[in-house]
Order: sequence, then C-alpha cells, then structure tokens
Amino acid sequence: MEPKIVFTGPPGAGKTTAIAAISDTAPIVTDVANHDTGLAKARTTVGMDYGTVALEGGEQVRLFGTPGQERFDFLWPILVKDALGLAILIDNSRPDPVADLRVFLKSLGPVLSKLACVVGVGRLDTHPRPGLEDFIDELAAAGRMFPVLPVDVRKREDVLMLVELMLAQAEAKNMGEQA
Amino acid sequence: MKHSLRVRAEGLRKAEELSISVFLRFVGQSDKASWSLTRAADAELVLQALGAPSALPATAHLAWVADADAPVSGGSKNVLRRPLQVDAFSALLRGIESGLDVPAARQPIIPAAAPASVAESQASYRLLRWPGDELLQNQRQRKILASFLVSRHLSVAQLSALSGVGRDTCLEFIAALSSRDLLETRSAVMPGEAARRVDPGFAPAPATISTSPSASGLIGRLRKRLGLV
Amino acid sequence: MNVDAQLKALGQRVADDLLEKLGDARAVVVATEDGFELAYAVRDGIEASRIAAMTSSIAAICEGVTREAGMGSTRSFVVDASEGFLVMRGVQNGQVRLVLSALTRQGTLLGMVMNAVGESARALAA
Repeated sequence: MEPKIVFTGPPGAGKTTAIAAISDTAPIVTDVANHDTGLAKARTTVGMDYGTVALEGGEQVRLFGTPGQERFDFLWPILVKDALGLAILIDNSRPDPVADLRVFLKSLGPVLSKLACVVGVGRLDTHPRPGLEDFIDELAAAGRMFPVLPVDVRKREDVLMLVELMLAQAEAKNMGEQA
Repeated sequence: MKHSLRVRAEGLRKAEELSISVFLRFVGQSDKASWSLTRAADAELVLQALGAPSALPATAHLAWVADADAPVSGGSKNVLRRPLQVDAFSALLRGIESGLDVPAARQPIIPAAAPASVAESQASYRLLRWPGDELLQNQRQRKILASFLVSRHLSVAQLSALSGVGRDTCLEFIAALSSRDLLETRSAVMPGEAARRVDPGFAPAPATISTSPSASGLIGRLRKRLGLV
Repeated sequence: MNVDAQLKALGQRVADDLLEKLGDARAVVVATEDGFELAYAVRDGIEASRIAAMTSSIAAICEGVTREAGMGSTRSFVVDASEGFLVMRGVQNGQVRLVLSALTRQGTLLGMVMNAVGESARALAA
C-alpha cells in the first residue's frame, strides 16, 4: 500500500497551499466558487486536493487535502483512514481557532489514536491570541497530545517540519509494532 | 568496594534539582560508587548555587552552580555552569570517586559517553504534554526529539538511535523536559505490566530497537526525498 | 449564502416539480457547487443539508476525473445502490454552478430518472 499524508483543518488554513509546497507536480484540486459569505475567499475545496511525492524505486507518497467546512466532515475520516500522518492546520485569524481544533478532534475521534498527528497554527504573527499553549490545553482536554507548532504554509521548510514531526512519531510507533 | 554516596542541592532551582535527579539515573552508577540525591546535611557532595547561604560540613565536596557567564572567585575547578550539562556533572562525580581510593590521581575519569549502565537502559520516557515554545522555539532538533516521545515510552538509548542525535544531547533534553514535569518516567517493568499501562494502539517500548525494514525504509526514503536528512 | 432570491425560488420550483414527477422518489436537492442546499423537496425526513454537501463533493471529484481523463465535460453521475439510485447533474445558471440530485427508491427505472433529472436541469439552467 502506498502511504499517504493528509492535511485537514478549517477553510482558509492553507491545506491546498501546503500540498502545493511539497508535491512533485501541480496538485489536483477540486475547488469551486465559494458562496459562504462568512468566508473571505473566492474558491474553496469541496472534494479533495491531491499531490504526490515520488520516491526511489517508483514508490510514491500521496498527499491529500480535505475540505475544511464542517458540512464536509463525512469526508474527513474517509480520507484520513490508514494515513501515515495527519496535519491539522489552524488559521489563527478566524473567530475561534481553538473551537476549530475542537471540531476536528471530535469528528475524527478514535481515528486519532492510531495516527501520527501534528497541529500547525498559521498567522500567529498577526494574530498571537490564542497562543500555542491554548491549543495544547485543548488537545489535553480531549485526551490528545500532538506536536503543536507555528506554521507558514507558504514556506516549504515549515510544511516539511510538519511532515518531519509526523515521521518521527510514525517511526517510534512502528518500532513498537515490530516488538 | 562500592561506595554509597549522596549529593545534596543547596539553593538550586526546583527544575535544576529535577535535572540532577534525572542525571543521577544515568551517570549516578559506576564501578566505584552509587550516587543518590539527599536532603541530609552530611551528604558527600553539595551542589551550591553561587551566592546562596551556605552551611557546609567540613568533610563534603563542594561544587558551585553558576550562571554561564558568572565569575567564580577562588579559582575553583568544581563549577557547574547553567544550564546544567550531563557531561560536566558526570565528570564531577567521577572526579570525586577517583579520590575515594589511594592513589586517587591515578584513577581514570570515566567519560560521560561510557556505555549505558543497566539503570540507564531500563528507564524510559514519554511526553505527558507537548512542550511550549520556551523549550522548543527555533530548535528543530528538539521538536523532532519531542515527537519521538509523543506516542510511546523510549529509553535514552532508543531515542538516540531513532533520532540519530547524541546520547548526551538526548539526556539533556530529557532532563529539561523532566524538570518541567512534562515526562512520564517508567523504570524497568515486566512486559505484561507495561502492556497494561500503555494506551490502546501503542505497544510498550521494546528493550532493543527493531524497526520494520519496509516501513522504516519507506520513512527513510521519504525523509531523503524531502531533504529531511 | 450569497445566491439571489430569484434563483432560490427557481430552484425550489424545480425541486418540487421533479419530486412530483418521480412519484415515489425520496428527495430532490438543489445544491450550490460548494455544498449549500439552495432548495430541496423531501418525502422522508432525509437531511437535505448533508446530501447537498456530499453531492457537491461527488460532483467536484467527478469533474476532476473527467478533466484528468480528458473526457470533455461532465453531464451526470449516478450512485447505483441496492436500495435505489442517486442521480446527479451539474447545472450552470449564469455565474452560479449548481448540482441537482434526485434520490429514488428501489425499483425505479434509471433511464426514466435520468431523463427527468435532465429536463429539470435544463429548466434550472434557463
């Protein structure tokens, strides 16, 4: 099975951008015109985004981006199933970013126990509140503990750091499965 | 003969005392001595914060704990600089041990990077809470080390092997996490007991590292491809 | 949802008419391409907002596949299930792209449903 990495999070958090930052080819996107007046963007993903990273020997890692709006929550567990890792991207300029995280933790529920997951918080430079500790607290309240770090998805090195922290968890987990 | 020796912290920060207790787990055992932390007045070694009031018994060894750039008068050799480093602490203990028998001067000082002791290989650690920016800010290596400790208990040797980061650096990071109460520490337990204590979905830490060649190979190839190694 | 009231009223007429025409169909939903229910007519308490979101995802993915495979433009797409059909069709009304879907019960003739959905789509595009 070819492994996949999934990017999820509320609309506007930069899932499509994050995939474009590391995909070998221009990502396949399923974005359409946005009719949500509460969302300040022209287009939004409603199906999924898809990119790939080719490895030596013809193997490839698939990159998936989910739609962000809660009405598409039926797609989240489908896309996340059997993923090598999951990045939950948060946009700190939205009205209640901690509540956004809560929505994803609740919807993904038990799937998260088996995933290497990382939370990337964007736009912290212009919107410093809530801080990283608030997200760490929210995770703890949900019985979860994942890396939480600031991220600018336009920067490839920031997206790579998210992937790196997923891989570290996956490797540690994998070690136990072989024991 | 093996000596039971005690170290007392005098005027140190709580976090530093915790670091010392973690360090002792790793470098507190040698062929000559077994060190423990004590509050007793007659400890063989006193770690004294520079500037703190002293009530030092005449027989004790004294080492100062001083800020990185603080001048220490009297030309004392026994100074541990902040933040506390495991190699300096280990050298201090080994130095004191070498004076226990005659001729003290001929006793070799055991380097900090000596093979892992039994006690060291048995302790394993898992994160209780993701560390805040204070510990991690702009430190890529520390973020990666912390991620290894998210999903399972790992010993320092395992953490070092998985991450490719030196043991002393791993140990110092473990001590820093421990001093902030961010770690769950587990000493050696029977495998059955370990299995009952870990979360569902995660197996207990094995005594030795045996990663799956296919999966670890894949992760390795992805790392290489993305330029993460 | 920034879609004008006139289009919403047209959507509602089309949904009502199609449900009527299909006899025992369970639901007709008119969704915006980003998954909001513009209008709907249902018989058995099915949640139109969920169907709207899901059909817009299906439409986006089908259109993506059509593009990727060089198949021209997508007309309709069908979920053929043991208990019925879900027939969907993309509709362009001015600047707004919509997804019209009809959910039928078992035993309905697929060709008939597709034909009726096609007619309604033309009415909705007008």
